[in-house]
Amino acid sequence: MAKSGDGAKSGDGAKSGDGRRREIVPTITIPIGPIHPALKEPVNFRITVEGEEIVDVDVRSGYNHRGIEWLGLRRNWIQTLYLAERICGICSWVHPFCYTQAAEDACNIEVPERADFIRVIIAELERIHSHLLWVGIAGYEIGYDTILHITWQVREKILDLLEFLTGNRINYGMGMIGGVRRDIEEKHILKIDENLKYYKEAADQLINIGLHDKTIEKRMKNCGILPRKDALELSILGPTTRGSGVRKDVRQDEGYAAYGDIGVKAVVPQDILGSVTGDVFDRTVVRLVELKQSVEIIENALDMMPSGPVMYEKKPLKLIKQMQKESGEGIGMHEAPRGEVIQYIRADASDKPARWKIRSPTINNLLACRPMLLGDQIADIPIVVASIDPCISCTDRVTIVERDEKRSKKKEVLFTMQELRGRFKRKVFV
Amino acid sequence: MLFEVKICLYLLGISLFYTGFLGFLFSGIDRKLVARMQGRVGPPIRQPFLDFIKLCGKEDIIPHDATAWLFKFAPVLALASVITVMLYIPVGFSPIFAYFGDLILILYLLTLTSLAIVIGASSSSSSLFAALGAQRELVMLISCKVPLAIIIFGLAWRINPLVDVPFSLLSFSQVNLWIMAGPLTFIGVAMLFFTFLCCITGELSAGPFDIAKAKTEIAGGTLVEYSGRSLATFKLAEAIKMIAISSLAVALFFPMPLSNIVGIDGLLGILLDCLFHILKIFLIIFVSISVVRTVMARLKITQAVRFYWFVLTPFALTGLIFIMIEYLV
Repeated sequence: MAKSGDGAKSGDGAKSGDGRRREIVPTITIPIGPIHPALKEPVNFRITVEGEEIVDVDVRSGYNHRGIEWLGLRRNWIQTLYLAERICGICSWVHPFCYTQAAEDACNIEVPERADFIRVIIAELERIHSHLLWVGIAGYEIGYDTILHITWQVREKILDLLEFLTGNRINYGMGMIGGVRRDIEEKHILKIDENLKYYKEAADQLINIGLHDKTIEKRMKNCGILPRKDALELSILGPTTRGSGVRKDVRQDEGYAAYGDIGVKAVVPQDILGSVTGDVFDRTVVRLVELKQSVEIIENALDMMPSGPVMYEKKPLKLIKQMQKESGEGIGMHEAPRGEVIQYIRADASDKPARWKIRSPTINNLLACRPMLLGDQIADIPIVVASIDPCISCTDRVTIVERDEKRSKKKEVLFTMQELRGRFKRKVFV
Repeated sequence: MLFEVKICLYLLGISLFYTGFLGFLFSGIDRKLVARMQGRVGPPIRQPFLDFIKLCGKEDIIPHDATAWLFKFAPVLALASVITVMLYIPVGFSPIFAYFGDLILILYLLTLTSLAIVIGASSSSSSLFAALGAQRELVMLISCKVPLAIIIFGLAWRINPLVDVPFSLLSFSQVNLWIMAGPLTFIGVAMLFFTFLCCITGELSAGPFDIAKAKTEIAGGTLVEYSGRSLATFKLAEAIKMIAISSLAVALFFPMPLSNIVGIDGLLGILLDCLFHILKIFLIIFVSISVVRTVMARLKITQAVRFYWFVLTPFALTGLIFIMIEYLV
């Protein structure tokens, strides 16, 4: 993840024939992060600029590593599901959805068809709330606070709906291996219909604002350009790659859960605007149109939803007992609002997973920041970084501690969690 | 101490309290109005006063590498220049130093305020973000002053044959710019007034021109290292600058007092004029700051310069040509 960023002037930044100018204008390196008003989570960008122009970018991650995978291997199947839900606050359905799919795949558990549809409905509701949140943040990053307040007001309704459906606003607690924990009944459907009508209008209005507001256009067009070639080579995911014109969407390509029945087509800017630039504006348009697409998917899912049970096995203990007998490998995937999430699980005939690996979309998308930012201005940094919708708490699987003895005279010491706990106890209680 | 110096100090004190109060009141109202327009409840109107009082009680931290005296001196310079400028601009009644200063001095003092911020941020705080902010502040200063100078010099040139001292603000209260000639002059003055409104937004770095202090880009820019009393002083200076520049707009374009029309003299008349003046600057601040702040995103520095030099400056010149045509033909 972290490249050696000490060679501040790298070859890519220098433009041919620009050598004379470089000697005159001194470069400075600006640290953006780990704590910075433009970032919502800790990640570090070291950005080298000449005047206002960016010539080099280095990304460092790992400030939010919590050892979730390690913790998951020490809890049983059901407890790990709850842990998966708490990987991230915004994609709080993405990870349990993925985890349950992987666990079901590993332990050969059949999911009832109705549960698949309910999972899709929750996933799409979450996408609406996540994209609305993103639009607000994008507005904030370009200093357009009105957009932030208005979109978050709109978003409030969907959180209320999710609370009505699942019992919680953020961590829904809806997932279960082999199904979902709550059914969607007649009263829920009425409420969903009512909200969908509202969101159809809201999405139309937002698309209208996004396409026609002059200041948004000024700030978002022709900045943070990610060419289609780079998007493919860096294997960028989600709306970020679709903004560059790549038709990549797991819902379309794999057809997992009920998506295969419903039929989803990747939203790309060439279908909406007629041409692709791969800039921030295109990514914004893709996200705004996906709001509408999600509403349509939910409508279809509600129409096609068959009746039947929503759980494979109601008693958790019995489920764990059954899973204890199985061993194998499983993969779960889901098109999260930020791109494809993959989870890998190995079951080893035990009551807990033997290996659990999470790959979130931001780990790919963070790399796109470099080609996007090169040649842009300092003023573009917040919106370009925000345009990949980074979710650092999903991403950080490892922390790298620099132990460069030449640079720092003080030797850094690494502690394990257990040692730290021990030190803490001695200090406080003895 | 000399009697005159004492009087001057008293006058400065009064100017500071009156304009400081008005400045904080208006920034409170501005915050409330913007909040209501964005669908929020917003802070109470007294919030800027509370912020100021609280900041005054906080520790004044000076960065390790900073030039301490310059760092502390900059906010005082900013405040001093805006209080001084208030002595030359009418705020409902004729200004205290009405017969001494002129428009060029006012322009100079307004520039000095921005320069004080640049001095404090760039040369003495040793912070990278502050230095970037100072760069941007200077660029804004250069780009914003061009159309502003065109307005002031153009108007002074136009009223030259009508009054004795064209560059004095008092002369502008003697003539009515809007109806001094035919319809073409009216259009020209309206165009200049619109340009002035845009300049107010830029001068006070509000909304789309909040570039030097861009929160999400350079973490607060020019004021990032300031805290405690120094920050409070800067806040006060900025609040007063808002009053100063909107009062300047009123003095140039709408100096008409209410007391003459209603026919009330004496102290009551002055009070009435003061209230009328407050209403006028409120309208100007509402249009040029609150509304603009709500409906626009922050521009990039290159876009802002392009707007002032290649859009607003030709626009102001066109307005000036309209006025000239009717005057010369």
